[in-house]
Amino acid sequence: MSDMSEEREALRGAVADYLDANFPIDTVHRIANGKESVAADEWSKVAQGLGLAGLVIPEEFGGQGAGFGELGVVLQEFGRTLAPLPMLSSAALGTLPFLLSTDDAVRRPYLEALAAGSAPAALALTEESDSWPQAPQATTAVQSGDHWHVSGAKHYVLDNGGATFYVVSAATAHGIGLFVVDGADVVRTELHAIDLTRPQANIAFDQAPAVALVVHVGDELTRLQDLAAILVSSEQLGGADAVMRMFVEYAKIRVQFGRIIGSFQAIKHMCANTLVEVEKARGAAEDAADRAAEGEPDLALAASLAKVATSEAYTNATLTNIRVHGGIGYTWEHPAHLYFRRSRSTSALFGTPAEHREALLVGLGY
Amino acid sequence: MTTTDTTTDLEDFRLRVRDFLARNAKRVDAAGDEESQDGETVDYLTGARVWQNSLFDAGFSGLSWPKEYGGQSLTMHHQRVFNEEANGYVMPSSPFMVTLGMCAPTLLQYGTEEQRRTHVPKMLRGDEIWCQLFSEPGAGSDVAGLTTKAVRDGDEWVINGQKVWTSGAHFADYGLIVTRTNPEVPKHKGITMFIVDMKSPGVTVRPLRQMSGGSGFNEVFFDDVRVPAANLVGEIDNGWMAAIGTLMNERVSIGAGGGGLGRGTGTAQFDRLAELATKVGRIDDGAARTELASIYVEERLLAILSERMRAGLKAGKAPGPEGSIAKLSGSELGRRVADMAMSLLAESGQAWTDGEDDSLHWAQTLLGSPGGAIAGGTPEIMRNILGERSLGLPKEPQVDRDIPFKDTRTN
Ligand SMILES: Cc1cc2nc3c(=O)[nH]c(=O)nc-3n(C[C@H](O)[C@H](O)[C@H](O)COP(=O)(O)OP(=O)(O)OC[C@H]3O[C@@H](n4cnc5c(N)ncnc54)[C@H](O)[C@@H]3O)c2cc1C
Repeated sequence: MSDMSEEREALRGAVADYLDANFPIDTVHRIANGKESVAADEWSKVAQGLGLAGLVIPEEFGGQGAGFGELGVVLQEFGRTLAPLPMLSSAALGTLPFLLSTDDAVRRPYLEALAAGSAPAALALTEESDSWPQAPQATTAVQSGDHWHVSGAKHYVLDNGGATFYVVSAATAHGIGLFVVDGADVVRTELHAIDLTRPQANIAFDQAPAVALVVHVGDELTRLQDLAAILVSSEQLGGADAVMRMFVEYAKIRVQFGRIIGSFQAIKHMCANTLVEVEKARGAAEDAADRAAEGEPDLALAASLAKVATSEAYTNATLTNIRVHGGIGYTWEHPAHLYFRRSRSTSALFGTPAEHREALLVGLGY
Repeated sequence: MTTTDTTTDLEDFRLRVRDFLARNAKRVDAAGDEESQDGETVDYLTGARVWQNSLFDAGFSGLSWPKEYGGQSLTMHHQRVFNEEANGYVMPSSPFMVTLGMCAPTLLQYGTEEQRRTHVPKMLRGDEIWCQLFSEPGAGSDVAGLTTKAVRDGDEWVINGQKVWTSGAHFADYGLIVTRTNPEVPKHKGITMFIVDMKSPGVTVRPLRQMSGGSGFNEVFFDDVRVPAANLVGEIDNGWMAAIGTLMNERVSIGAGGGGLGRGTGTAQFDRLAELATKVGRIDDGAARTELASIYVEERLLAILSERMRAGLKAGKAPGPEGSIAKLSGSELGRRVADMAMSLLAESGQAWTDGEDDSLHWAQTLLGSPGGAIAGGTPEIMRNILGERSLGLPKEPQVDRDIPFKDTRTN
């Protein structure tokens, strides 16, 4: 094992220990059912302890200075456990725009607050009827003197129940920019979400004061979205792997017809087919994260490949999980549906497999 | 009315049906969604019973079933005409699916004359709702591994044990239960079926929640529940035959909509998906068209197959293993429909605001679809049945078929 992968495995182990101790699936389930809640200071504790909130934030802003490879590994663990903390929403997606920005004066206070875990952010790009990649259609930003104001609405925002600030894409007179809007200046409507373990919202804002993070984002908007898709893929991979383990374990203990069900070829083949899909998806997701870590300029193909592979591996694995469990897998009490729901949700967000297939062909010049 | 299905007779019949439906049934669009089987609210249930009463009283329930048991002794052609006319109407028949699709056919085939006359007409009229008490925590695919015990005590049998996943037990009046009456013989040879009154002392029904949120199925506990010996269905220790009969009917019922329920013959799922594709602007998209067309094909193939299967049923035959074709095709279709809807809706299929009814409808469809594949026998079991019983392939090695039940391996 190389040093790099040893370090990553150590990080994975530390995060796994924390998550298993604090967010076993029963706890996650109770939180999803509103019977328990996450301590208000949990995220800042995690920020201080494991340094997850600022994992990819440069050290000069109080972060860990790690790369996308490490972030990918951590997201896999969050995907595995469904822990309801803003790891994807803030430490990954919400942090990305601040990494794109080169204006230290503007970004410093945000990055420091993000790294401290005291002010989670959310990335808000999607509008009502978007395809992939997304460009703002109705959200606009207007400058008057030194100040910017944004108006419009963003949909399906992963904001962990309400972010301290939102980064929105908006059209200006000169192109598309990224703007930071205070959570207090948006009207937030919580959505009914298929995914019970992660809140989502529509946000609307009218002449909301905004800070211009990147005035002309240009092609970087595509890169931002490719990175987002790659990060979501990492999380999906962790979930797919977890449900596979879940049903393989069950296939080793459940007895019907006097036999362990895993001894039936039908079940064995379902397990093996999932392994094939998950390992291929792992290749694609980790390859994409590595490319991102190395700063490869064009991530579009790698991102779409990863998103197609992990979305499909995950949705298929969650259905197989229910099927291998039989009746018990179809109940509310069993965690299988939490993963089934998460897989469906993440498959649709940041480009559906169909949209990414189209993007692949377009990217390949067809 | 005569039972000869001359053209005029059928045309008369069609007009009577049309008139009846126009006056008594709700149009699908006017009523919004036909409620899912999840949960079945009191209001829905009351409405469904009223509907079934009116269907029966007008002479449209059990069209091809024998007159002496409350049916109409008409032909499958009449049933087909009814189904054609019923397209586009809400048929609140889901609470009766187990009753009419599975339990009544079992009584007709294996019950005593007394049982048939007492119960079947009330079942057809919606006055009695039944449930199927087969699965147990340790015995699902392998129902014959059941451990719920029945012991004879004079003129009664005393039942102890637990059933699970019992659809509709929370509103059922009666249940068909399979029990272990002899653990000393191989597992298929010591099973006995009874009719159990769900209001008997010692029956406890506890709702279970499905992943879709509703509570349509239950766990049912039996503590010294006493059942009169007259409630025996079929023969003592030979209940496995009757159980297989119920299960085969179940597969036809789930896959093909049997039991004289007046299931539509149309392509309701395709219609709704095509409407959705149009609404979201994807109806000209090549990939969407291909999948949509495939779904139409599958839905029609299943409808035709079902029609033919029901025709076979009428001829008095017990359904064969072919019910598994319908069951298997139905669950595969369900999965494809849900997947396509999710793909069409993209982000809006996974989260929605109040009033976004399409999203809600399809999310419920998606969350219900894995249950449809498992209920009535999993796809793996359906494939085993088709391979072994329909095609005569060698059986899977069976380790516990010929040893006394008490020596078999369980969970
Ligand atoms: C919505 C719903 C409604 C239901 N309603 C009723 C009802 O009203 N009454 C009732 O009695 N039951 C009902 N059931 C129970 C249903 O019949 C069982 O869940 C089903 O038969 C599977 O049994 P199980 O859940 O114990 O899974 P298991 O039998 O434990 O199956 C687990 C896995 O092993 C596989 N497997 C088992 N045996 C084999 C084999 N020989 N070869 C290959 N694979 C195998 C299965 O396919 C499955 O993937 C309902 C279930 C559902 C989901």
